[in-house]
Amino acid sequence: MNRSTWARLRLELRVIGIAPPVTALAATLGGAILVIVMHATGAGAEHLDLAAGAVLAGFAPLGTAVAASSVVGRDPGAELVMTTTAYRRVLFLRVGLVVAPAALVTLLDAVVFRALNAWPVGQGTGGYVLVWAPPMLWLVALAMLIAIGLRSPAAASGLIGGLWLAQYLMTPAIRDNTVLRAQYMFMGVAAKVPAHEWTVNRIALPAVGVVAVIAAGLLLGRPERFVGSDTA
Amino acid sequence: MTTVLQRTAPPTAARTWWAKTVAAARYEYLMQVRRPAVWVVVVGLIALRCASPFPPGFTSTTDNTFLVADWAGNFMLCPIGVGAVLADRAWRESRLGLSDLLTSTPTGIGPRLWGKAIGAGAATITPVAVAWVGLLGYLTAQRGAGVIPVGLAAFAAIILPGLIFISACSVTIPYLTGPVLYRLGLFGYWVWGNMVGPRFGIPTPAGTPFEAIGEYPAGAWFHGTLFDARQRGITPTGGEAVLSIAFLLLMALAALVITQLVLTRRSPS
Repeated sequence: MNRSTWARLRLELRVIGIAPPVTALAATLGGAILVIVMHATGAGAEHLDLAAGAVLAGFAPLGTAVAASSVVGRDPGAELVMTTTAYRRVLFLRVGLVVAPAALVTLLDAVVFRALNAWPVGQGTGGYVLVWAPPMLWLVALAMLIAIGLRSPAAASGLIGGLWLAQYLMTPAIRDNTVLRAQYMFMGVAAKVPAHEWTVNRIALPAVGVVAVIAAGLLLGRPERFVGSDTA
Repeated sequence: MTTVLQRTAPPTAARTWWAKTVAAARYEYLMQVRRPAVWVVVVGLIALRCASPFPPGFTSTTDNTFLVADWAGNFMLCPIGVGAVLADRAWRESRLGLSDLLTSTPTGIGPRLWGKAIGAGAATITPVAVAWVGLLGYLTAQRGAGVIPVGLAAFAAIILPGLIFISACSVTIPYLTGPVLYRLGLFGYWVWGNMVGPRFGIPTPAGTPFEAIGEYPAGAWFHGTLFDARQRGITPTGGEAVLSIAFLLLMALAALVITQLVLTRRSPS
């Protein structure tokens, strides 16, 4: 990576501000600290496994999605940026700068949790990535689509927070429905998931995520929507 | 010309603290209630939870108090939406570069803060009230007008205190944390403090009078279904329900008073 690329990344980080990366890292790091403290204080194996799964499949994706959606509408110089480059590319780069460190730290969380024997029931080596990456991609993509579609990070964070909590509260109803089960983000936390359900879920989550990213990209084809007004 | 120049209201500096607060609240209300995000998020979350009402089968009860209490429980996803869309109000003036201009006016920090809390808070609670009125209309068509008084009482005792508490926190705490980190903290608090019962082995206010989902008033006065309180083996009394509501309102008051003191000390004027 050459110097101009580093300079560009540093510039984009300054435009984003400190809050989004800190928020994304707070969820995954805070969760890791909780699990480590529970391990150190002799928490039961069942509670440890549950906490590790909740951090990886629940809190890390939620924090990253809330942080990523907040990047939308933060740029007072958006109009100037649009005169020189595709705004879609700039916005996706900024989201990447928020998501990539959070994803890396969540991967480290998974390695530490496995070493501490705090590991979601039934998960093997593939769980290092498969427990958290599909729900993170899914939730971040949906948050971006809502934030860009409504021009409102507030709406995005409120709706994905509600969706996240609704999935937690309505687990039995979701698990009983074939379509909703494929979009159930806490599958990595639940014990003894049938293999075919797991496979379908882990393919369907990123697939919908990719569709949401494409839709968000298409909406960014009209970047003038972000010029000259407060967020909705 | 003379008529045009005559003031029908006294200038801002001559008005009372309360008149300035009402004026600020009116402006904040109108600004917030016109935001599409407020309606999309709050109504969306109510619809999401009410699509699969919980606990199963409660809608077939003949007891109207039990019915409205459990419907109120199904509205308890919307406070996180209320908090999420209120969180960006704290820094709005600063973000738009208006802080110095507002500080130079005779309105003062107190009326602006309380006006923001009352006006923006009321505007964000408006979709909840509209949805509740719609639900009462539906229930009235099914069961008669007897549902209306008990429904209004349930809204005031079960839903409203939690919303006031969350609204006050959401226009004050973001001054310290910023809106992004606050929203994540709000979701974490709502799960930890209201959803994760004592059976998970983590210390939590869930199931005590200090939770924000209105379980104590619902259980004590409306025979509503208990979740976290039952895990603790508690059947709430009327006194505990009053304690629960008083705690939420006092915490809301404390958040606003402390924020006003801090902002006043920081102010250059």
